[in-house]
Amino acid sequence: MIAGRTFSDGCMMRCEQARQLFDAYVDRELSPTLEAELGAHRLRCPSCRQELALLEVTGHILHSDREPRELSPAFTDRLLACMDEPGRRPIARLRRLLYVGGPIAAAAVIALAFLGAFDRTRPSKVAGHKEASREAAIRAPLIVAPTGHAITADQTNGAIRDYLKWAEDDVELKRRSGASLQGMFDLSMQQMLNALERSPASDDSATLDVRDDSGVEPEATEDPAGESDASFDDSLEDSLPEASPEDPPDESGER
Amino acid sequence: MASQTSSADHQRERELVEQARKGDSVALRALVDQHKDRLFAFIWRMVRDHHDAEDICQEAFLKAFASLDTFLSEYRFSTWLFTIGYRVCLNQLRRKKPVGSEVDQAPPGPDSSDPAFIVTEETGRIRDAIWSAVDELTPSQRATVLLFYRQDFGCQEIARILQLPPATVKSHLHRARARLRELLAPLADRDWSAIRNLAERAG
Repeated sequence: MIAGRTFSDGCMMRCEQARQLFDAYVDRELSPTLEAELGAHRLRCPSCRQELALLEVTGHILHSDREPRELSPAFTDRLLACMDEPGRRPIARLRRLLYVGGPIAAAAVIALAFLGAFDRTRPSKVAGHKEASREAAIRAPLIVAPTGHAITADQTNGAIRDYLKWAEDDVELKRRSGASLQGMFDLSMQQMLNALERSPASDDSATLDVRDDSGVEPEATEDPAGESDASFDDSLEDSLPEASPEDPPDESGER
Repeated sequence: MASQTSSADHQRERELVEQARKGDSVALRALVDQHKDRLFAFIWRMVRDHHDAEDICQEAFLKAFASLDTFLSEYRFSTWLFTIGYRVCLNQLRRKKPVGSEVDQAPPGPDSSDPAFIVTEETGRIRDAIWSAVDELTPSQRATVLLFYRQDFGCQEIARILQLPPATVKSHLHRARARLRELLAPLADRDWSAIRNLAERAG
């Protein structure tokens, strides 16, 4: 509740003072006295009257508008089916990898093609499978990224070598991915893309552009007071926010 | 009375979470069914792409369930779920074009649960302008506005979901409202009589 001083002691509330109270007014947090004063100002001032009406209508529509979109009816079943199969990534996730467009889709197609040629349950054997590697090397130049750049065999083989090395050596990676090859593929997607960039073959002109080509920069903070947005971070998805014990929960729902 | 109801709800939710933690599929399904529509509504408004919103919802649930062992039951499950969903949203927004460039359009049709808001050309225009203005907000401002107005979260809970101090959430809300007023000012001039009528009904 905002009490504050009143404006009735000889001077009427000015617009700039009134605007300071708009939020508290629409949230019903003003003291009765201040609310009455702002109400009186509203009657006198067409500009503030209009702004407050706009704020109230906006709040009402945001609160009461119906949702124009609904989840697919099969959402719950699909989600629970995903959970029943440890290590299996949701179909939707795979679909997104394929739909996300641009170089990421190309890289996913390449990786899936290679993984499909291997015995997924026995990655240690894959590492030494020369036939599979050769087949991969043959296939690779046929795949052209949507950006128009062909992906060289050296690049793909380099990515495969790196990937298989991670799969073999990275205990943490195995733990987090449930030790499934598909899970490791998903988890290490970004690492695979990074490996493509680092590939020795990337010094020729036909490199795979693995950067985000959306042209979207992370939103610049507009808040000089340090009230910054939660920062964008590649690691966000893998590092879940932990409920902080030093921030005792108050679930009272107070506004 | 309301706090007693809320406390009882929270207790029931704790029991559900505990059962879900043990792998009880009925409890898992109940948690999904309780929260999926709210979460989807929030995420769709954030990313404005149906497929992406479903994917993010699914990912948020999977992550939330995978981390039930570390979930502190003093928190509401919805707060935890929205926290994860929001963070996955941020990553998605980073990868994609800003909302407003190529987005699902809200289909025409019944637009308000409030029968006083009869659909006319003017009210339809006002609705569209308001939602378009929301799309213009920064992701954190948009999230704050959606959680506050549509999901009925208080500033304390929004602060937890956005991982920001409560004062910053207040600041986001204040700035968002100021920005909305600025963006909607031309509309207020043009459709003033309709806005005034709507404001009287809303009040």
